[in-house]
Amino acid sequence: MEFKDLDPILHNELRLKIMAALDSLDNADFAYLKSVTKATSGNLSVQLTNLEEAGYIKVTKSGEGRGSHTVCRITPRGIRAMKDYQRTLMQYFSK
Amino acid sequence: MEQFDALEVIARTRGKVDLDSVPTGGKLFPLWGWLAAIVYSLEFLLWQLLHQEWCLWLWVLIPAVGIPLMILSIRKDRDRTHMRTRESRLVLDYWIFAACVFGLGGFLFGFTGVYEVVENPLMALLVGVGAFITGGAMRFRPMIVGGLVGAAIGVCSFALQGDLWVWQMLAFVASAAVALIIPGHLYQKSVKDGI
Repeated sequence: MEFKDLDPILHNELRLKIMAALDSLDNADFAYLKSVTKATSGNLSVQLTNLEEAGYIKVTKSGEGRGSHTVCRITPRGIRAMKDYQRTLMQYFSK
Repeated sequence: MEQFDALEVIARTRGKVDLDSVPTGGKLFPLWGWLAAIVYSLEFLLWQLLHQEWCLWLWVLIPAVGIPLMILSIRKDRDRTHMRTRESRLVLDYWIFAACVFGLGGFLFGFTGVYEVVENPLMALLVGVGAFITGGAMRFRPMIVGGLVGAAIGVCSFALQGDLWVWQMLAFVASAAVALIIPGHLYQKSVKDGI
């Protein structure tokens, strides 16, 4: 029996937490994602960049320095990827 | 590959987001409600006393006073607002639409002379529908019921035409009271009581 591979971008605990949060929301800022994921700022920042490079989220930055504000939003591609990921996981359990 | 229970991570994160997703907006209801009720009551009284056309332009006070107050209120809450749900986005879009109709309609109907025919009932209807949608998104029953009653007042006040049109203003005051002021204060009380 063949199992489809899990999306390596999503199969990382922190990235999956970020995507699960954004999948339920219209948008969320850096501070909120930090509180939901309990990640450090550095780690969260790196994973947000990875997700943005994969085209799964859109990151919008406004302002500079201490007053800067980062808002993240899931993209249609990200929504599709989350659906596929969950479908694949369910297949693992059903087979 | 990393070892963790992916389904549990998804479920836990979504559960946490759901707990945080108490939509805001109820705070602004009393502000807009009181402002609309005071301005329209004043408009009604002055029109009855003076019968001057400028009295019908007092509605301009609502955005002129309300918008700066709303900006101040939002600024105060800015540090606490970290995310927006899809429902609160929908609610926001609706109120922007209603505000545009209110502003544009006010000028358009005011200059063309049909202000007293449609503007007030239309606004009462839009306010009622807005409260209904907001209440639905917030799962707050008094706001849903208040919105329905407010919209019904709006629909009924379309019938106030001819010499009766002036009573449309008080119908709008009633709509603002049941759709905005009462549910808004009840919501604030429920938040304060931690319900």
